[in-house]
Amino acid sequence: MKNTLTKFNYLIIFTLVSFSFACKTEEKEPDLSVNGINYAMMVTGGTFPDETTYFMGSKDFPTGSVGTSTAKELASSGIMYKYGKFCYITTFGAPATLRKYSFDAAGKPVEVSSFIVQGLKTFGAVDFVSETEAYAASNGFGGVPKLVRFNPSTMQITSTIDLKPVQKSNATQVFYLGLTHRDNYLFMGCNYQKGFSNLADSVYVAVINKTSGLVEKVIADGRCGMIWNAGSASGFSGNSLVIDENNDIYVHGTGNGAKVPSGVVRIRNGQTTFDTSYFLDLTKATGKDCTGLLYYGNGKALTCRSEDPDSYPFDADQPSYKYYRIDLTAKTSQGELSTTIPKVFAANAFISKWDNNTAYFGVATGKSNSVFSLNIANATVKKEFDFSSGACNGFTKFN
Amino acid sequence: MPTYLKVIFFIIFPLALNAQTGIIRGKVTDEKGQIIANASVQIVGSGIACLTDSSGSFILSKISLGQHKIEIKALGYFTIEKSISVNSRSVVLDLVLKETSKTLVGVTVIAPTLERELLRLPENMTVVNTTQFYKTNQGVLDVLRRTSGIKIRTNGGYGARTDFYINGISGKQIKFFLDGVPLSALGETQSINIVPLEQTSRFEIYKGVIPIRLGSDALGGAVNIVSRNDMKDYLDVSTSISSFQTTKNNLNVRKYITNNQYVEISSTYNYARNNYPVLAEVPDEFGSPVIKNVRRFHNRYQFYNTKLSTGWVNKPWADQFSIMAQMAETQDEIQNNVIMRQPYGQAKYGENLYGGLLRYTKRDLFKNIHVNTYLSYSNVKSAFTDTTLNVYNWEGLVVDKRFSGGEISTSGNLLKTKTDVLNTQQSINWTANKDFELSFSNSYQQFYRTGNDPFAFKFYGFDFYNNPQKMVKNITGLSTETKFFNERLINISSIKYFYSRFSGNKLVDINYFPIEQRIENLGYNTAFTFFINQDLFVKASYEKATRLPDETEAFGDLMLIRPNPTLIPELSDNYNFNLVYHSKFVDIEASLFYRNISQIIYLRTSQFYAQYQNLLNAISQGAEANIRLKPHKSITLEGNITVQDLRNRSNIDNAGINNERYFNARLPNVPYLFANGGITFQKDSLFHKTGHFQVYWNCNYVHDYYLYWEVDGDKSLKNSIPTQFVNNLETSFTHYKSNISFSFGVNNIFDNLLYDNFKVQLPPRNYHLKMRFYISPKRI
Repeated sequence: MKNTLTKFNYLIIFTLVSFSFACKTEEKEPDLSVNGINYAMMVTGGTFPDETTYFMGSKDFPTGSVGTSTAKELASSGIMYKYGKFCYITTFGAPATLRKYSFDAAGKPVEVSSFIVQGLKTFGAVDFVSETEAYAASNGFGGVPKLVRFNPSTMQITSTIDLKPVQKSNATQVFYLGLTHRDNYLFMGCNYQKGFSNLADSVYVAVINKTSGLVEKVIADGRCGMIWNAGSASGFSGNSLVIDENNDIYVHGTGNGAKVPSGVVRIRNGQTTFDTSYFLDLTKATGKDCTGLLYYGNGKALTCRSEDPDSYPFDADQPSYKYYRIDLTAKTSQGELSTTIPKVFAANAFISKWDNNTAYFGVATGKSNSVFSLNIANATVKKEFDFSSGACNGFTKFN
Repeated sequence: MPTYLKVIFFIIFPLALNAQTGIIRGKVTDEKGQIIANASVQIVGSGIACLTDSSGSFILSKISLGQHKIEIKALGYFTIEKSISVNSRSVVLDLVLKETSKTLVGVTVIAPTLERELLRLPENMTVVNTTQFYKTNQGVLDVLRRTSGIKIRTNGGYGARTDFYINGISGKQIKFFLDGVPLSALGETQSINIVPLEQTSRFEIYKGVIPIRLGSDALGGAVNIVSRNDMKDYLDVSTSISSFQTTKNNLNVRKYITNNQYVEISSTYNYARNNYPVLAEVPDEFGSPVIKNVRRFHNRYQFYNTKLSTGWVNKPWADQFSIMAQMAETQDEIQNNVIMRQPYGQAKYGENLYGGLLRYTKRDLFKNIHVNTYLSYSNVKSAFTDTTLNVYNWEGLVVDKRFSGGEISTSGNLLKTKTDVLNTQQSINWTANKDFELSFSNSYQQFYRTGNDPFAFKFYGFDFYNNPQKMVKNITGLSTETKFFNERLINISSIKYFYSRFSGNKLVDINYFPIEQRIENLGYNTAFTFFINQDLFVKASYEKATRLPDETEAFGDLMLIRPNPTLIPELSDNYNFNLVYHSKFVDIEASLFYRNISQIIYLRTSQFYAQYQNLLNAISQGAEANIRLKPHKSITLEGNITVQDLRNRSNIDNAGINNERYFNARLPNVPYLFANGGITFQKDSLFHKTGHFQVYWNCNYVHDYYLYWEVDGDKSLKNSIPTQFVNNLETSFTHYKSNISFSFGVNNIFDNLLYDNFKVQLPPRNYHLKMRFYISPKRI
């Protein structure tokens, strides 16, 4: 009898323990690999005047022509970020909203949670530090000058950082473009406008202390022009701030004709000022002005070289940029990525990689949208698949 | 010559001559025996005509013996034609005319023959009599919404921005008129959605073929609001209160100070707080959105207008000549952005208008030549204010502060504009004979706008709005109306010449360059009606339509939309076919339509600005059907259904987007199946021996449709407007002795969640109560 009771107690305990583990499992966030989705991508689909964003996943590596029949439709254009096993998407339009996505058992995108910042018109850059710390910057239009700190696991805002010290009295607008972090600092690219013109021909980066949550200073470098690309390490589009394996931060500024070239300056590891000994003159290295840094490791990046002096990075009429390879460490250009790749729209350029062998980048032209692969070792390229609807602005792998 | 021969020659001979002609004399009265002075009496096709005198009497002489037709016309009465035989020296006639506005047992209706007469014209049109709605709380939108082929979409409650669709044609492609005067350049105070219904008598809705008398460059749809023009004294006062703190008040008074001259006052004051509840996302302290039932808090709308006029009717020199002066004002609080996610707390828009109108109409100004002309001038001032730095949430709380800019625009705005608009039209008709009429019409519009915005000036360093913008538009039309086979076949054919010239400033990078553009185009149409019998007829029509860019497209709206003076006209081939049957108990109308539209001007938006551009081509085709049954004198059943298919025929290049897949795809964000139904029951002496009771139920149905391209995205994950089915009920009671009527109504009886434009939420169930006093003593 005693043994029977003891065994029964053990059984109860075992059951309770098992149940508690099961509950814990249920409280966990959905695991993508469980649902069989290994790849996620996002395109801007539709045709004028109704362009929208489509976000979707697939089990297998995409091939052929990829449609949107399994995609979640999001109003307006959007930006995608990936951190851990989730995608984070923000679309243009007030109030600024960041949504966290996963996939359900049927492989369809499902929104896990989101947060809103009233008063911001859209997010321009989202930078993930850890599973509990991330930052989101608004994309200008004046608006409310603040940077939002949030917990990506819970998607809750934990604090805000006042960006009033970043403002300049003679600027009518400030755009916060590009975000990265190192040590205890955030580095945020700033673009100042006066009316419809750049306030000055200079790169500006705000240095923000994460612990105090205060802007310590805004550093400037006049060897190249204003920052015009947003993004972060978790994003896919051309960045203005990238951090390499040595923890050096490279900052891209656009050119302004004969006044200043497009170029790259550097903030060395451990420093919070520009390295005066480093300057990569992109205009000289590639032959023309360039926009954006599409980093793929070991100091290597792609940039988009303007083939038309009158073109504007966000022009939507004709593609007028070509991919060029650059070595940030060596301060050199290895020339055009491939003569087989036609001119592209710089605004749709993106890069993604999940191993050290291959990087994937977008080729968005007037008539087609494709994803190509770049063999990092020998710099050869290959077309992987097309999109039948829209230009890709995010492509990533989870497992 | 002998004297007796002279007597014979000068006395007998004329008598002999007169013996070959006759005289027609008589009197013209109305159904109540009241004399009608200055009515026109003529022998058709002969040029012999006169007016009745102050006793209603007339004499026509030197009429050849034989069969003739005599036509009698007077303003405010149905025209009659009568066959007569002049076979003696003198024919005496007593002629009775019926009023076009007839009061029957306390209910004012327009005798159906006017609507039916207009429907028999070859143009594809629908006529809606509005007098029957005076005692209800129905507004212009409510009445138009029940018409087949028409879809109306709003952005909120009373006074909200409204988009009209007629047979798939939408927005700018539809023109609105008030008694033939275009409303488009006259600002928000003249918007159709706030025109007081009590100041109208009917709506004429043209679909596909627009007559030259409207002088319009509409691409296939026009709505002409015909003002109330009672030919007798009356006093009409009404007031109503409705949910969400809404009140509408109207006063119309006309007094004939002589038999032929009247003075009139029309005045309206409407106010709505529009604080109806909506479901909105309100972020908590962590930014997590919480869906809450909140009240719209910054959505007041206020409108007033006053018109003073005097006019002369049935004078020898004019059928009607009137002078009108008006003033009007709107104040509109702007509550949210287009998709209703971001609330605003202080942005607002206001407008006021001062203007005048001269109108002259005369049939037979010269023999068989009829003239209709007007001249109108309006001065419109507007003010758009967007200066606050406050950030609001949907609970109306200030949750943050901006560093710069406005709630809506990047710079913020304190924009004031002033616009002068001149409209004039001359129409001349020549009636050659009973089977042929030639018409000429010329419409001219001139538009001049200036403005200033110190806020934008401070932000950008220059004031764009300080650049004056001008536009001149002239449309000339020539038209024939021909009747064949004893009026069994009627044809109207027209040719139109469009001209416009506008000057403004084109923005290139950050610099402005003056630009002037002229556009000329020809358009034409033809329309037929064939009467199978008196009750059954078919109509067919075609128009090569042109729409010139309007002032907003060319100049922008001076707030969010930039100018583009390089626009070219939209073009459309419009085809219509109608089958119409009218009888005492049933009216049926079935229509097919087809539109092939090119160079569509569309608002292209981006992060930084919006601008109208010629971008698109499309095809719209479909069918509509109407039925009205009167199984009993107390009961009327009506219903209509519209099916329309709008397809993209554009092949434009976008940044990196392959557009072939969208060719022939259904256009997004346009409903394609909708219907209306209603039952009216009315009875005298039901509850009171001297009263009239009426109850009216109606429903509107819209099938669900996608907001974006149907060919993209997982169907279950797409944005769509769900199926809408709205039921409304209204009852009214009129007490004859006191001339007072009451009405009570409920809209959205079942409290459905309603969405409209861009899925903006519309008001839930709401109530209204209206009281009206109407009296019309006899004219002496």
